[in-house]
Amino acid sequence: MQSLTCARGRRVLFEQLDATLAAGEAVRVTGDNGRGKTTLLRTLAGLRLPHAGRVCWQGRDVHAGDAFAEGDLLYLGHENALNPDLTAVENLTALRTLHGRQGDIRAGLRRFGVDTIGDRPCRTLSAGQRRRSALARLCLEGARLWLLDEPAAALDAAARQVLGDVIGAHVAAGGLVLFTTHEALDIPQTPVRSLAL
Amino acid sequence: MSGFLAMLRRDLLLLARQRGEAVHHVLFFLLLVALFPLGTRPAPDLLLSLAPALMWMAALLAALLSLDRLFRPDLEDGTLEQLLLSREPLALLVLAKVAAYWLGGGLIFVLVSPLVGLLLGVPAQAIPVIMLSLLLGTPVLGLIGAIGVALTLGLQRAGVLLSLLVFPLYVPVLIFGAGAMQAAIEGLPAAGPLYMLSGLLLLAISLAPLAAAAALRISLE
Amino acid sequence: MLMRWFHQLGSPPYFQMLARRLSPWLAVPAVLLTAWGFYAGLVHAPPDYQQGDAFRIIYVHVPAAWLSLFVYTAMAVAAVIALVWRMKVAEAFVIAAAPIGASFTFLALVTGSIWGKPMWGTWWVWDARLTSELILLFLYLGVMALENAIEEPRSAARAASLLAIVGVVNVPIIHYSVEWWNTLHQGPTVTRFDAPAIEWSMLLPLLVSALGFTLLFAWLVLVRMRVILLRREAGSRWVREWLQNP
Repeated sequence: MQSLTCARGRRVLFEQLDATLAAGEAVRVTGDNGRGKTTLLRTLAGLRLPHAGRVCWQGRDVHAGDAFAEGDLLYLGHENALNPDLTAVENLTALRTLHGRQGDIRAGLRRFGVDTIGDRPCRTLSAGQRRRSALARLCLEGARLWLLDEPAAALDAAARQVLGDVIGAHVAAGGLVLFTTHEALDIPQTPVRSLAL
Repeated sequence: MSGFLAMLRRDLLLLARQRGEAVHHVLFFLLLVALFPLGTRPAPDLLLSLAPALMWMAALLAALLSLDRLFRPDLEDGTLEQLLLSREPLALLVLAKVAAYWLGGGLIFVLVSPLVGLLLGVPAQAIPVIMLSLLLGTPVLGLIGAIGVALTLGLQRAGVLLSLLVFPLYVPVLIFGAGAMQAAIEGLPAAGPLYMLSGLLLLAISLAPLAAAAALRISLE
Repeated sequence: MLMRWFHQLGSPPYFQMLARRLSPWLAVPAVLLTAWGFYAGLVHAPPDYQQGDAFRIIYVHVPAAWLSLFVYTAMAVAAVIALVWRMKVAEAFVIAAAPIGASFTFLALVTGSIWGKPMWGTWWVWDARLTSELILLFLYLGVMALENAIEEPRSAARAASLLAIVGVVNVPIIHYSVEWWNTLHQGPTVTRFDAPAIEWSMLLPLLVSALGFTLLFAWLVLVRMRVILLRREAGSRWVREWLQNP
């Protein structure tokens, strides 16, 4: 990102943010509530237009349209992207096809410990179970860049451990992860860079 | 293509889970038509002359009232931003969603229309044209409505604004649809307006998803 | 070179300066031409032998109707520029032009109604032209309402631009469908809005009024755009400098 300036409404959230990130890095975006962490992640994903500045992925401008055409991006927002009337398996199957990923959904659910409830409508799951089901997407292959907005929200310690392992494995394999979190998230054997707003 | 089918399958699955929707449409149509004669004298000739307008107004209103479920649930549970980030062209996904929406709404109208025609005293030979005009016209209502919903998605209470935006765009469908029904009721050839409706449908299928996709991106910024 | 000028025009500070310089050049001819056109039509021209003096209102009605369509088209062109190039100045044009275009449409409707009253005996008739103008008014109001409803200013402008583009594609379709509907239900009208052959003494005031209206629109839209841009860019440096030495 170059000279990135983001605003919400008339309020400028942050200005002139410069950073270059490479493969094999884990970056934690820090800042108090309201500083614009979510806005930053959404801008990096291409969902929001920056007020000024550019975001480039592999040399291509993210907002020009086709930077992530190979499906390089996995974005996990505050919401789980799980329709309450469908089961976790149904939701994730649709998402997998839409994002062009490969991988076993049930294995992913098993990793996060929610495979036994994968066939119930998501409205019957607790907040933690839903979050874990949404995180199962991380176990699918195909995305090199992960933008995770508060992935550890509503997770207990065991689940956070699994999450840390998964992120660590991805980084070790050459992926790039940017995330925000309010809870302690330990990523074993991986130095975590900090990006402060 | 696989994305289109995946989207369609998912939305049809949702529709099957929420079976109540289809029944609502049927009841709405019948109720509106049943209420109308109570507001005037139920003379057969009067009702017959107003039948096309009445059926199309019911279709328009039902479309407007149900359009919200096209994108709002996806916005609320976070699926919509995933759709924006998917590899498939967003316009194609929009088309799949509108198709599923129509199968659960407009198609119901088409199937119930003979019954409604009966209530209004429409002659039997006009029924096929009536059904055909609704078959061609209701998808257009959904497609154009999708643009309106996408534009107003970020707003809290978008209902009346949506109507204001979308009603002027519905005028050609209303004119040709009602025109076809009118011609059929009077025993005249209805080919002209039906051809125009088909033209509108083709135009809507090709252009509306693109506009709605652009509107979705704008609304989510 | 044209592209360079085009992009330069898109920069708000440059545009502000240009618009301010152009203003008097537009305002004076606008008022003069419109006044002349009105005088020539409303006062000077001979009354029509069939429709008498009410016919004179055509000199306001026809230019207003022409402008209502012209402004919508201009709005749509600016909307395309705003969306494709993300130009703030183009966005400002769309927002500025909409109420002006709506006013012209309203004027066309009112004068059309006034014209029709002596002939039809009622204030409103579902004539093809008037009905099309009415729907055009709703299209304008939709664009204005949408822009007003969305809080984030740039998203609001972009949404309104998209709606304007969708509307402009529909305008010919709506016009044709209303014409079709009208001929179906009323047959050929006895009195039509378009005179079969307009002779020069009538045409000249019409054209002059139309030109006057166009310049009036250009002037008003530039004034509105200047205000809109100042308000939107209120936090930035060039606005502060501008306000210090206007």
